[in-house]
Amino acid sequence: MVVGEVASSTEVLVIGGGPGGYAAALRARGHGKQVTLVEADRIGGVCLNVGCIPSKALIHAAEIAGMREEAAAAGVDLEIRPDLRRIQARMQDAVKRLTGGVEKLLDGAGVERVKGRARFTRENRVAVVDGDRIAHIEFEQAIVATGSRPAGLAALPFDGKRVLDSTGVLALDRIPATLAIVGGGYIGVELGTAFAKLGAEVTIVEALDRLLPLMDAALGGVVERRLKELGVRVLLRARAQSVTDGGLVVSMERPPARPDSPLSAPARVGAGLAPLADAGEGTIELAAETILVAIGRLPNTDDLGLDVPGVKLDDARRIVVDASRRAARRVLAIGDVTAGPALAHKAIAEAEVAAATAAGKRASFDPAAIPQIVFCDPEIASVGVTRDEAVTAGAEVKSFRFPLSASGRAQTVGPRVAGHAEVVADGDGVVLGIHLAGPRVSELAGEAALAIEMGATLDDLALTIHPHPTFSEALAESAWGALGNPLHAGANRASLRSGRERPS
Amino acid sequence: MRWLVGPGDRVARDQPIVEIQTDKALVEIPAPAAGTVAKLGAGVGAIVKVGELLFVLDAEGGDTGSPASGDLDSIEEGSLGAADAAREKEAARDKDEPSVTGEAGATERTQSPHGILSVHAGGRATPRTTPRATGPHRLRPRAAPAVRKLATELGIDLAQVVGSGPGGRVLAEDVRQAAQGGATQESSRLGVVDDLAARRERGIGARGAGSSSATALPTSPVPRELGSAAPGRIPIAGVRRVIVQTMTQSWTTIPHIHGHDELDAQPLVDAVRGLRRRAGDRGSVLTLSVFFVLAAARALRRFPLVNSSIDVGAREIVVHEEVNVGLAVATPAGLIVPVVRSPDRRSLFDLAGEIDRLARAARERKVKPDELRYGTFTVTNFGSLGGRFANPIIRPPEVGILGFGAIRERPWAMGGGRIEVRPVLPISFGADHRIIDGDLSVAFQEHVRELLSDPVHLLLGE
Repeated sequence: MVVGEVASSTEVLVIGGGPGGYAAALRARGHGKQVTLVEADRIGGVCLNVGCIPSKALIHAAEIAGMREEAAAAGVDLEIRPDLRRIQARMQDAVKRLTGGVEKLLDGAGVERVKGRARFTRENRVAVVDGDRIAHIEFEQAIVATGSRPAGLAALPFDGKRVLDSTGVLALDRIPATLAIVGGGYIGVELGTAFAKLGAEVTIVEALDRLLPLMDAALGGVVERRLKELGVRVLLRARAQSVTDGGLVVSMERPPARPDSPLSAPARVGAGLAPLADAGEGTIELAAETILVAIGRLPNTDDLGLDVPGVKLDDARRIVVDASRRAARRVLAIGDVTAGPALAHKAIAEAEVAAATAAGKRASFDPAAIPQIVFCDPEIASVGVTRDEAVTAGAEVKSFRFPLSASGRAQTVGPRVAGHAEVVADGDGVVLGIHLAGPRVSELAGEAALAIEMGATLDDLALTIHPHPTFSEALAESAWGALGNPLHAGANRASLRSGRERPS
Repeated sequence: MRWLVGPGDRVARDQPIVEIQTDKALVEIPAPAAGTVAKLGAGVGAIVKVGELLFVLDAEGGDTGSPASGDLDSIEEGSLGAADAAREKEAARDKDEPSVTGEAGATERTQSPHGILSVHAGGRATPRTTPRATGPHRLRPRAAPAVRKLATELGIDLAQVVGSGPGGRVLAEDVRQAAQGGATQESSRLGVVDDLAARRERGIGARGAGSSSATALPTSPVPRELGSAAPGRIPIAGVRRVIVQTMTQSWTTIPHIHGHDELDAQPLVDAVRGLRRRAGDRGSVLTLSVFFVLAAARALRRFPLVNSSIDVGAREIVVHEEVNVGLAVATPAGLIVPVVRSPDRRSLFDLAGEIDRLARAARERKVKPDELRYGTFTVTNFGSLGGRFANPIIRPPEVGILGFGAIRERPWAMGGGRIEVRPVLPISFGADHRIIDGDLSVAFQEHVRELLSDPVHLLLGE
């Protein structure tokens, strides 16, 4: 076949069909542009196909599977037998419905879809390779949205069988007897919680001294306590060394000087777990039929031919963009290939801006906060600045942590509902951050983000009538607390730490 | 940079500590409080990068735990003299910049226990230790996302808008008012390519070619804060200091001659309108200033002697090879003149985009030192505010400056004894009479008049 250099042309080329890419394509069409979307694999990207959506379907099933105790406490006895094959079928059904829906939206909007891997060959042209076919596309503006992939460990290379990334674990059709998870970030915590509820013996290996190290410490504490209840073994200050036949060797950092510190225990054994085998030299070996490595993600920028004039990569090989998402005269970038948290909702928000910029309009990505959610047990939602960050910054801080145990709605669910709502405000009472742990608090993150975006004050939050009895009342309660006037809680530690203060 | 004090020196509040030379400005940074100089951050002549430590001051009255909080509060809110001026001209935050960029490095103070203040160059008042907490949050203007979007679309810097909502929130109405020349928005004051002019011209385009009123270009309302000042003494620093030096040198050493003329701008207005319509969204950058700069460049190619400088010491006239036209852009800090390199060697849209970019960079104080250099001539579009003729002052070592008044409808003799109401553009040319004789001055101005009277001629370059 003679392909030659004949190029088709488009006004806006979007590379990558994940949440950022497909949103950018739809929005660019909305601006009246001719749009071509290039996707190498499946529309929907990681999020829809092998990330947020299937994992939440799995977590939902695991939640049900983990309800025996809660149900018994509520007066209902359940018999539970999870079947991962049927759970898988349900996950794939959800994925298919959503990706099919997105494809329909794209086709309905008149976005031209091209399958293949795009590579820049000139400032205004890409070559799209699909098998042995090459198509050349000339563009006026290109939006790079190629996303990210799981980072691996040299000592534990992915083998597609025992050492898996999150995609591999989500594709399991059998619940492993033992699951070791390397990395205590949100992916490790979410999947660890789910598989523990489905019956696996789970160990989480985290190099730092707490779970969810990028979030407010109190949130990680809530999660850690619940994981222990679920029988999950949490190894902190621990590093995975090597894979053995049926096991994983982990080196443990020497415990710090204060043995009473809750974070210093070298290994914490979950309830009912066998003691760990000492492998000598400060290392231990744990049984691990399956190993999930979830230590972070790497931007997909290496195979794009990005030596386009003006395009710069930072040290982490992410594309450097300005607030309008522009990287060079003809190149914009959004989502995981740029700086910031690798989250679908961030990519979608950036897509709005990039599409407008590509259409010659003025736009700027300028959020006050990007919410972060962890779908573990209980759910975690963190929006904006934590108290520690605000204090470290030298800001005058007013904050209050309202325990969910004081919430009427929480009491109807059970006597020992874990979690809290904490609001952080500056000296003028302007809300800077809201941090939540508790059942279904992921659904409260939207209100938290709205409050921060609108520049709401503690008064605004407290005086907004929150419906009773709901978990959302905790937001107003924490605002009242930070104003020094809590209604359903006494003054707590968090509130006592308000005022102008500095870390020692 | 030059230190005005040494380590161990006791200083009074507001006493100048260090003089920093940026490309355009020499800025004195005063002590934020009384105390003893504990440490100087860099040697004389050193280039201090944005964010680097300038000096450490052991403030008086500080005690452990509550670090001179009264003093510090008043520092945050009170007048800081030159430092305030410096902060206004806040340098680009980009830490990759090789030196303090823009007009002057703003200072940033980090407060720590024991009353020690460290003062850093550049950046917003974000302490070093906090990559994200205060910067984006505490200093973020209180405005809803929809208002921020509106501001972006209108090219308004929210930090410059005074909010009228509860608790000082910036409302959509505040942004619109700022865009119309109210509040503190500088674009309407004297902007060469201000967004306002762009919007006005868009409005004209929308009204259609057939309308007889389609030619009127109303001037913008005077900004509320223009010329406002409280009784008292204002330090001359930063951009203002440079302006004072340059203008004094120009007026006391250059014998100016000025010429004034007018032209029928109907073809020009039609051309702008037609090009914009044809260009669609891309057309928003096609302002009248683009054509003024292009006309100046073409006339300079025709009369290279006007594109020159005097080297008094060598007793030589230096005729420049490049034609680089500076644009006067008004900013809250004062007039800044970014330079368009070789305007006549660019495509129209390239030129328009570059002018738009430079003007925006100047207003946002993000213009790079190199973009303020190498000018060989200056254009000022004072007419965006109104007015007909002016006597613009030359920026040495240049020898000419071209000013444009407001296009207004006036009676115009069409030939054959016919008088019509036409949009009329006034032009004013200032020349260094040591080099430019009257005949050349008139010929240059006449050439500019012809180019702008016939936009096809102007665009073709012939």
